[in-house]
Amino acid sequence: MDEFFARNRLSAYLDGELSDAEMAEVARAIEENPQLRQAYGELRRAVELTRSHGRAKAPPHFFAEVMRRSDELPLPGRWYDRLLRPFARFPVRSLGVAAVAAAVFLVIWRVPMEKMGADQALPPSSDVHLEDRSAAAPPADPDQELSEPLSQEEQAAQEEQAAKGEDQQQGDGGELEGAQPAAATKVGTAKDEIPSEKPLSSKLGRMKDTRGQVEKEPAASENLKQESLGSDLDELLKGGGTYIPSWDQEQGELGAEQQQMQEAENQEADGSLATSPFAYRLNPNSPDALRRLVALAEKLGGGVYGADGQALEPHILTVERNHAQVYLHLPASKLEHVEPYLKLLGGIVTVREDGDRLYAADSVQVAVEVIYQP
Amino acid sequence: MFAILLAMIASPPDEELVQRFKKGDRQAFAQIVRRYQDRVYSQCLRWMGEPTVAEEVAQDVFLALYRSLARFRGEAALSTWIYRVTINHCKNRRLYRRRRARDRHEPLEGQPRDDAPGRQLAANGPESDVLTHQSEASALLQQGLEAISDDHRQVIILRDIQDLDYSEIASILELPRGTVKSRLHRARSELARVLRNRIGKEDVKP
Repeated sequence: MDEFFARNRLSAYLDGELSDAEMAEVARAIEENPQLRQAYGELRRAVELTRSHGRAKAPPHFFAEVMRRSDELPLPGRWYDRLLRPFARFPVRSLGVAAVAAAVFLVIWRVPMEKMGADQALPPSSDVHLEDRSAAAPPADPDQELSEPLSQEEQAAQEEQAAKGEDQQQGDGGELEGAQPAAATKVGTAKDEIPSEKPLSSKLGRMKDTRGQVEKEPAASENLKQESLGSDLDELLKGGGTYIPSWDQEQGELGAEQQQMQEAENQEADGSLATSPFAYRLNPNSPDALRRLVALAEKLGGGVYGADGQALEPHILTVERNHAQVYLHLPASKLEHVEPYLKLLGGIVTVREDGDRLYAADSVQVAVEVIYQP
Repeated sequence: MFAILLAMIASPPDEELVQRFKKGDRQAFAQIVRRYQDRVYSQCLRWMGEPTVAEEVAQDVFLALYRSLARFRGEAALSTWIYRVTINHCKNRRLYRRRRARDRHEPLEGQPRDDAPGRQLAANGPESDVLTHQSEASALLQQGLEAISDDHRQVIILRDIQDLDYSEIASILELPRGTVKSRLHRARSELARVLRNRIGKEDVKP
């Protein structure tokens, strides 16, 4: 047997994966050729080392730890999981929690506001309450009324005196004088403490602000991802391209030639879009989309790499060189931030999640194909 | 006969466990974990090199399975699927760690370090010579695996550590059987060359 032929079959010979005739030929070649014998010896020792020392047992606590962590996850057989399964790619659960939280917040906020609307004539501090009572307004709080019977008597006396007329009032001036200074003191106290209305207005202001926040809550949460990345990136990404919401729509809008080109690219077996768990295709109308992509990835704590695994230097796409296939390596927790920005950069055509290709908990590789379309 | 029946009940096939889990049986998942934990951990250890990282990745693999087992269509064997998921996790983690190490100017994975588990154990002087030899051999193997390419490493792990046949490997890697055979030959030759260069062939004796 030819040495080259035998050398290429040494591994299969070790595994017994050759036909009987080939096994015999390789065995004879090994016996006759010292170089082949040496190569076979090295190969056999490497395999035996791997087989004897390659295996390891999981640590004793491994099983318990996996089960403990899986306890926090819902079981697939539950009815609500089955219900949510079609929407598995959308953060339904998170949105639900956010909606409930927002509803609870609204209810909590509206109750005091309504109460305040009813009691708006009543200032919040005790001093201003005294001012109201001195103006013969009915006390709003019956408990407070019971706790201060003297002031009620004073009010009753005032009313009685008013009904009797001025003369009698003057005649009983001592009594009124006794009451008036007290009322005047109270009013004076209330007026002196006008600043106590400031907290009220500021409180109202705060509540208005809070209401503003609540009303703006959904929009704010939508924009949170973008805001958290900084205004410079927002500026950078502004006007990046056209968002094309679905593959089908894009197929309808693109020319036949472009369709053929993209279909051919789709069929590449080794292409990143075919093998990465998350794959996006962008059609930006801006030539510096790659630079923006690099900025985005760095903002998210990741990086952009070419097909060869080397870091991608930002460069400008041109009409002639309008295609780039890159990988974003990102913390998995940042994955949700990617899509909104890619939309800004230029239409996401498709996002694929293959059940067989899952991503690690702390890192994820996202394939992005950029086709510059001026 | 009774023993065989008992064994069948005690260890139902993967398909049955998957079906039970889909119906909400948590114990079915527990059995899957027990069945595959050593294989997944071994694979992760040989990919990642460090036991703590390997354990973390292996746990993530099972949690990912837990989340997505309901979508498992059964077109391939469960073991094939688990191996594939494990490979993807390990590759992703290695890429992430490599990038992070480069950004922080730390030494890259695969470069021998003084505090590598095998070296540490040997330096600390375990009581038994056998243990020393085993740990050194294991560390040597790890260094060899770190030095070869990802494609070569994964095919060696599947064949020589997981003891899978060529067809199973072909199914996991989605490659033709002939490609697996030739790639395995190249991978083993590369590993043998690395080991020879690293310590000299007289020390490679098993």
